[in-house]
Amino acid sequence: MAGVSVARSNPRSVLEQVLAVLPGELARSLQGLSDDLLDELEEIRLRAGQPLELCLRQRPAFLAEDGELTQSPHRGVRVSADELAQVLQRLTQFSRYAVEEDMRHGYVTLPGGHRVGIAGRAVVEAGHVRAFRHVTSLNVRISRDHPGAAASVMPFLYDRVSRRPLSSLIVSPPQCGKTTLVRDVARRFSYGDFAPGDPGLKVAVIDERSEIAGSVDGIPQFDLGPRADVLDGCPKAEGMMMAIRSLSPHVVVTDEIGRMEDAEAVLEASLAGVAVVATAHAASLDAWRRRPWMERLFSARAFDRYIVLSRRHGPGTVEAVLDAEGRPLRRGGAEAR
Amino acid sequence: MKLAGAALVLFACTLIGLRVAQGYRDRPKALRQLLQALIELQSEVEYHATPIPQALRAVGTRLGGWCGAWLVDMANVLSRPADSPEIALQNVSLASATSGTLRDADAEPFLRLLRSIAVADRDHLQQPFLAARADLEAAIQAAQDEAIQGARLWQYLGALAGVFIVLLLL
Repeated sequence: MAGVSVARSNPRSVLEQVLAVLPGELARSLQGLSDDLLDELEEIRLRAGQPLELCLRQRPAFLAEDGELTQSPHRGVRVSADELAQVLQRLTQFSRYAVEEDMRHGYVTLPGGHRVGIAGRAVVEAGHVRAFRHVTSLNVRISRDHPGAAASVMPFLYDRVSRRPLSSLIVSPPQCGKTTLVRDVARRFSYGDFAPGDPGLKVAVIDERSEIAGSVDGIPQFDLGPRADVLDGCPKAEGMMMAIRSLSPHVVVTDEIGRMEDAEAVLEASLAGVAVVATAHAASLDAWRRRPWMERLFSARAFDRYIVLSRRHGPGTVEAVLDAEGRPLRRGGAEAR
Repeated sequence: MKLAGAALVLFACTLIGLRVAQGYRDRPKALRQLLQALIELQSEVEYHATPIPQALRAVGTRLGGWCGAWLVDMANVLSRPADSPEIALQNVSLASATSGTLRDADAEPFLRLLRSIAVADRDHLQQPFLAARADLEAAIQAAQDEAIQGARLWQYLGALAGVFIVLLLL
């Protein structure tokens, strides 16, 4: 059994891919920040005509002209509309057509799994967003790898009697570490780092938004272990069915389920005897059940485990691990990254 | 001695003429290679939706030669942080890549295409490719016409200039 490393990513190397798309002046100012601050950096928010905002783990701040952090918006470095357009060009690699589908959903993913949210004037066609013109805001969410993040929940995700992985759903509001946790779960299953003596499992990662594996040109940048197959940029529902039919996985891992077709694919997988580890946006299990299509999954006992996360003690705080009926197996709150 | 000198002058002038004539003949071939690159780039972009830098690199690697090297240079420039693609691409000279067979202006249909598809959605990719293709085909036709006249002219002009110089010197 090969264990996963617990080394954390170097904050500067994590930022490299993000800095590559920022205009020179802004990138240089950010490079001047200390390693500690870079490590705390969760989001970089660029708004046309507004100061550059950095969302740190504990508090937001503006980046001042002298490279210091300030709470005063008047002292912050202003981002011009031209700079924003330049960033967008670099984000899309001068190829709007290549990220058209993502942009319709309001984001672009950078190499390394950093998701960039887009706001501006939406161009709507037949009631659906077709594109964005006059982009006025970009939100760069820094993606970090935390090997070991799933260590405390792994014992709940594997049935040692039947020796099979359990379908699990990770539930939390945004920015609580769902993707980081699901990535580590995938890695641990793949390496066989979940139950002493048990071999690793075949893991199919359906990475619609390229955030779990952070693939560049289809090659995962995050370590997902030796038994992971990644369907990068593939729609979740279609990808799950493709993986089940052709990759014979023990576990299918995916991010942010919420649509009817996702629910159907999860049900299909559970009927096919394949464990699904997925994430969903919701403050609690009850809130998740109230979302359209999700109650059906709950009633069908599609998931054996629910892991509820929060930021109470920082991102990745495990609030509770619940069973298929929503009964607590463990109450937590003390563990965070 | 005089005779040897005259033969040398005649030979040198003929060689210069032949070289210039060869340049005229090479131009349509080089432009056809650009057209081939454009066709392959179109399938990379339209069918695979590959982003421009990766598409240029893939086609360049496949094609090889000066054309492949030129495409890979462009891909490298676009992959580096820079002010804008226009400024970045100015540093990739087609004239240097082809040792003067083509001019930098010959790259204009290609560069115009890159600028257009940079902001196009998938439904509107075909038009810029068709326009670039038409421009290149017109350039190939013009280069072929020039080659017929220019190559023959320089072939004779070189030798005739040699004879003329020899006669003057004698």
